[in-house]
Amino acid sequence: MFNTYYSRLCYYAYKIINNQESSKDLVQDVFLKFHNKPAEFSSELAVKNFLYLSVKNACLNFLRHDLVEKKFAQTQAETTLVQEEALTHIINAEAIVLIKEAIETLPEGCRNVLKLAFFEGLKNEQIALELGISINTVKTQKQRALQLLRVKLTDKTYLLLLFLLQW
Amino acid sequence: MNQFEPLYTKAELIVKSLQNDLTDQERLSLNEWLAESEANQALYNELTSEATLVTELAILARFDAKADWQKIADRINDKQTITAPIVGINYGKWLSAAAILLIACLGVFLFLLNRNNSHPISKISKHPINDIAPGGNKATLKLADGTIIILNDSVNGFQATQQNVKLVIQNGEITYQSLGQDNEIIYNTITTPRGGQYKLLLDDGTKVWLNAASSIKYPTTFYGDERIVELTGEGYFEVAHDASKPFKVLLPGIGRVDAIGTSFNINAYSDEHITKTTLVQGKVKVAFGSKTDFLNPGQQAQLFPSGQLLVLNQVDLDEVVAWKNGQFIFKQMNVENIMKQIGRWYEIEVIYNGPVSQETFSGIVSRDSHLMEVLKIMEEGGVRFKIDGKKISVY
Repeated sequence: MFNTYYSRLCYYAYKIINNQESSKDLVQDVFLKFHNKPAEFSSELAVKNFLYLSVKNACLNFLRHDLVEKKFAQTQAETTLVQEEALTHIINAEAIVLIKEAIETLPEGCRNVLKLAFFEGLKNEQIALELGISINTVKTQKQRALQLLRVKLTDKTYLLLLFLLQW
Repeated sequence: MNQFEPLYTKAELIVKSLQNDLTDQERLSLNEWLAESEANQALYNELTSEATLVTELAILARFDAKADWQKIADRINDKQTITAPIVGINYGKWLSAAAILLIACLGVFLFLLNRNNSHPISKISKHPINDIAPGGNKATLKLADGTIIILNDSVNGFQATQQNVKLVIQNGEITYQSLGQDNEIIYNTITTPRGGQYKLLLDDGTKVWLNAASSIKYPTTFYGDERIVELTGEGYFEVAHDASKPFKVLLPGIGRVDAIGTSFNINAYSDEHITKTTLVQGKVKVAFGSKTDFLNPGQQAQLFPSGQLLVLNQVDLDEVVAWKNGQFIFKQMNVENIMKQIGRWYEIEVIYNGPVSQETFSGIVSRDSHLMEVLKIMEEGGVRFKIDGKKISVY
């Protein structure tokens, strides 16, 4: 449960409160809460709903406290706007996780090369050293990853990846 | 239906449309949703834009479930030992609770009375027979005349004199006392074996943590206008501040790191591809061949075998200095790199059977753990190990 939902919930919290460390804290609190009453859920979907709801509420509370501390005037309109945004951010979180999963389904070799390039921002030479493979292998694996991703993502995204990986 | 569930469906539709994978029915429902409001259209555009996708994936990658699992596991354990706070007092409830407690106590008492003591519960070892114990505080000290002294936590009251310097070891801690004024520089060397580590205090108050399979050569007293030591392997330095006497770490055959009053980690193992100098606080200058650079806190200088020098920003300091804090922290590290660290600490030889998995693993384990606990991180990811004495085969 934790492995499935932790990073997407952190990401979701981050979209609302824009603070990396507090996002982690909030989400960990929610998981603790969940840990204390796991038996109450009828399905995994119910758990997912509970987790999103709890994180959303925790974030809104966090923002409220933040606002009070900063002594900002808080109008009703602002609150509604924040709450609506908090809801739509669920779409962001779910979509980005699905895209990440598409990358995860690539074969291991090219996936690792792509991850180092993509998530870690490493250059070909560093990737080669990091993985203990030749620079040429790095290049072929990148090509392969792109070919496979092209099937999974549209050409538009593919072009971007191509651009990103042309170092 | 829960208010969130339509949102999950929207996300699925958006990603399917990214992948050109929508059925006609799905396309219809996506279009309907898009037509509902400008905000929906804007969200769709955002999620299908190249730039957003890259940034957002990077943000998602910052939250690593495997790495943060330990934190929450610790908190769950804490929670279980701390009694829940009592909100309000209900005397009826209390009375019945007290009664239950009394009965329970009586039961345990009777059980203890009746227990047959001829079968003590055998203590089952937590570790299988072929598990390997972790390393510990051990090293050797080589004096100026070549005498070698074995260091560990239990060395106590040892004394020796080298020219005009008296050496005293108390509780495994080395101190030097100058007996004369002749200012002759005497070098001592501390070497840790595989499976050993050692912490020492230099004459100027600088603290040095020496990781396994490493060595440091240092003068018993720093004379002159520079403080120079020589390091092989890995060491963490907390340099005592003295602007008039720069502190220099020589890495034989590699280069030099100059500091004034700073904390930094140097990883210069000969079996690692890259020599890494990481600054925790203060400022240091790295000099490798003709290449020099200054580091700011959080930066890491990487020297490649090709002679290329790269400076990385905002490296994960916890991961870099984990060893000094008694931990292994692996963040998306491959088997080979993990096994190098493990091999040094558990004194094992690693043998690879066939191509090494390039799968990466994340996890935090105490360096006090037995070997199997560390290997478990990778076993969960499908890597198999066979332990044969001090040799480990990786499948």
